[in-house]
Amino acid sequence: MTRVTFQVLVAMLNEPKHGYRVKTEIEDRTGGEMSLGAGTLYEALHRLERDGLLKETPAPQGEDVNPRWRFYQTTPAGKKAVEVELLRMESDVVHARETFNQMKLRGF
Amino acid sequence: MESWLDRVLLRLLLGLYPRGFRKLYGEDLQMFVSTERSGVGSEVGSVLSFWFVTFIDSTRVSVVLRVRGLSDAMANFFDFFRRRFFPMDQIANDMRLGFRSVFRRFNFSVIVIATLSIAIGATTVIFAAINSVLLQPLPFPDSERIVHLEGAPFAFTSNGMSVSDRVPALSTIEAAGIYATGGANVGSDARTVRINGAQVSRGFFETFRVPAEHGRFLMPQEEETGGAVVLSNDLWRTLLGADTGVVGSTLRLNGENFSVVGIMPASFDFPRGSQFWVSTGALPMMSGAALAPSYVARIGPDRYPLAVAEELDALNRSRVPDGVDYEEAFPSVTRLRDHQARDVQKPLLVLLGTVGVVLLVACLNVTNLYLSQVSRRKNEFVLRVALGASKSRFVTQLLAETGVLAVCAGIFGTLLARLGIVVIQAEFPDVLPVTGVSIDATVMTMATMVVVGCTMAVSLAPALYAGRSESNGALRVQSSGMTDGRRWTKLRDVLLVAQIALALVLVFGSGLLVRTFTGLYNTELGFARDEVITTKVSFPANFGRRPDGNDLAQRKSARYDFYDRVQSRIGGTPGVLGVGLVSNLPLDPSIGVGMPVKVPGYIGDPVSDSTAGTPESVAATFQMASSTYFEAMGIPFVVGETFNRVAADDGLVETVISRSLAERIGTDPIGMPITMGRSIVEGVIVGVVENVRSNGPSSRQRDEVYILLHQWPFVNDVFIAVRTTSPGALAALIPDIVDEVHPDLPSYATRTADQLLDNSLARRRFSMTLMSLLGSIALILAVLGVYGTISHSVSLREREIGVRMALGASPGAIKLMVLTRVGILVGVGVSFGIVGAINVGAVFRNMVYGVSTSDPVVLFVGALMVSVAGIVAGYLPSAVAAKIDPMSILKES
Repeated sequence: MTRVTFQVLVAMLNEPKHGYRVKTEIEDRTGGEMSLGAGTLYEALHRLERDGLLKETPAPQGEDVNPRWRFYQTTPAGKKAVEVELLRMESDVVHARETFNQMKLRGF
Repeated sequence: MESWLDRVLLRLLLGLYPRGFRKLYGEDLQMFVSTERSGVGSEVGSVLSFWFVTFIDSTRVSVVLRVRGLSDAMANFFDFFRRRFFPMDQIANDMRLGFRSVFRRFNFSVIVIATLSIAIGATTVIFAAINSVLLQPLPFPDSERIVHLEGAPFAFTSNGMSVSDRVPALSTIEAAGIYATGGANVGSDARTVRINGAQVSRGFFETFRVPAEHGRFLMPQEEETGGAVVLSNDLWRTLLGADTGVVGSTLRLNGENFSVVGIMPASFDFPRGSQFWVSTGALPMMSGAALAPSYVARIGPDRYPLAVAEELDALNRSRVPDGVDYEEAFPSVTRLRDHQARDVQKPLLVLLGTVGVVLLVACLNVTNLYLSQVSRRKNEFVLRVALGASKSRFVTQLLAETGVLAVCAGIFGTLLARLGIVVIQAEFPDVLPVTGVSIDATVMTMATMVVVGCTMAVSLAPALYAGRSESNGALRVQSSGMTDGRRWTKLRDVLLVAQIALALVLVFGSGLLVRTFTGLYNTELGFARDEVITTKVSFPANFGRRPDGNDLAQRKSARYDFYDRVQSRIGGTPGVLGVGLVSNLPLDPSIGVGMPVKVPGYIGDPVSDSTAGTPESVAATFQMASSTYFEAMGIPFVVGETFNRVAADDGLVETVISRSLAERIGTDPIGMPITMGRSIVEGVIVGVVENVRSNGPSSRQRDEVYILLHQWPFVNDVFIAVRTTSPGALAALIPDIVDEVHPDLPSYATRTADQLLDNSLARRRFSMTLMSLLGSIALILAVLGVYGTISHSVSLREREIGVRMALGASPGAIKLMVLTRVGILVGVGVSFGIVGAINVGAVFRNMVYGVSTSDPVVLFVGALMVSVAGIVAGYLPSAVAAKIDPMSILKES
């Protein structure tokens, strides 16, 4: 799973969002370090939707936005994918941290 | 905030994405980018950098999307195969369903199997021929190293047949040999028979490296003396009863004793048809031999024929005799297999192309049939969809069905091919330069590939179609269901047009060959073809010879005796109208002797003023004939008469010349003196006969000079020409009559003149017959295609036609409506076909004679044939359409 995919899935975990809001949220969360272009974002949405990790949902009640925006939400399968990815990342981090610490212990 | 520039840029940006993606996300993308853009403000620098970044992003993504689309398609394709061909239970199920559906639609299946098996059979026959002639190695060890040499006269030999001592001078050659074909009369228990054989130098067997099955090859000392013979396996079995004790025994060939030193294995058949091999030292023993020997050589490993040719050339140049223009004789070195196949290679390849087209037409035809089947089976598919079948299941199902049909067709096709090969070998025994065409592993592999290819090709369009009808949804199909989509009708029309066009191309090709052949067959040959029967007698060199050697008179009288007795005996047989003898028969492949001819004052006499500008001499073919020969062959005299002196001792020889030669003289030549060669013959012209096309109908007309056989009696071979009212009956009698006249001189090669002509045209007849057969198959398939497509469209439009008729359309109008469609389809097909035929004509360039490769008559007749056949095929369904009863149709719905 690429970083973009992961971020997009995470951004939509809690509530349905439309494309531009996903972009802004990711920008806010990463402090502007990760800024997705329109194409990149929708390509990722397309792929995730095709794989069944995202699905289109109706706009939530009370949203004051252009009604033409499509809203997406992470599906249960998407949640599962995020969970799996998190585990993998955690184990990667643990492994990397151990290796790094050992190197430090040996005085490098 | 948005300026017009922003709008344009946005439009451009969206245009970058693939259409499907744009459809899905276009609106969102637009809003996304607009929102983003509005956050940038209006400062020129930041606007520009915003658009720049956005465009870069979109370009990258659009490339990614397109590549993914492609790779998805490929992945789906492979995935499809993986899933289809690995779960065996599903395959079995599909096959079962396939078989069931084959039996349920029996008529349809029979047509498909028949169409495909004819095409597969034809392909297999042609490929089998190509395989055995052009692909399979010759049955000798390292046979690709054996080459045929041409133009090596000085390097090898000055005295005809001795080669061995000169060959080591070439570093590129390991061994080389000379051979000349001929034959001998062999005494056996019942009667003397004629067998074919070859005279070979010692290096001959070294070149081929095929070990003798029994005994040994010819030894060096036997090369000079002769007296030893190696027998073929076939002769050993048939004549000598396969007795191994025969090695070391004596065999009489042409009245001389030869000791049998070896027996070759059955696989060794070179030169083709040889029953024995004797050494070059036995030259006088041979008769009926080709005048020019041939050279074979085994080139060294990793050497190429061209290197041999260059080395030979260098050697030749160092030995060029004075006054010989060597430039014309650059040696040619070709691999033996290519040399043997040289005459049939082109026709075979053209036939392969043709058969490929037939296969294509057959596949188009079956595809079309399938499409109409599938559209008829919509309901079945709908039901399956309702029961939860997936799209790929349909495809597999169809593949299995077509596969079952194609495998059946493959089996029948291979059987047909076997039959076809038998028929071809019986009908054209000498056309292909191999003893047996067989269906071996290579051919079977090819046939299997063809079957698989057909299956794929034939299922492709119907599979797509079935997939579509599923996505159409059950309801729509069930309710209207009566007409196909426009696209599918169009596809079927395109397939039909392609069939018609291809059929026309093949009909045109076969038309060219048929015209060539009939043109040649009907060429005036200059003699009475339908009444003449001929046979051949070959004399051993020792014929009439006495042991003491001083025997010229004796040998002469033996010849005279035979000539006179054989003529009078055959002449006395009931039904015989005339009999004559000649040294070189028209249409026989034996080579006549060419000699320069001079007629003082007219040809080749620079002294006379009247000959200024005439050629110095004319090369004419020199033939020995009996005085009755012209009458027997039905060659008419233009002026003068035949020889009337039996033999002249004054050295003046009577000659009869051909009309073409007389025309060079320009005036009545009777009584003029004529010389041939360097005064080899000095004679007087007594008669002029009509031209005879001696080398076959497509050969150049040659000037000919005949002299009396009795003047020049010592010919190797004599042909007996008999004119009779019943050639068939006489053919059986002649060998007995000749046997009675002289028991040691068997007559052989007894043929009617028609058969001679047939033989000389055998290769053309081969190409023509196969081409016409393939052309007819393509035409029949196209006709079936027209019929099938139009019937199908009529049955789909039944309701429409019923309504039209109910509204007052007459049956005639309905018929016209259907026929108009037929006319348009056939017309378009024929137009494409004409364009194709004109372009393809050049392929036949070397195969036609006397016809242009874009012959308008052939093209017109072909186009007419295809059009008429197509319209007739379309007429039947139009008649059916006209008979539709509007009431019953309307009631039904």
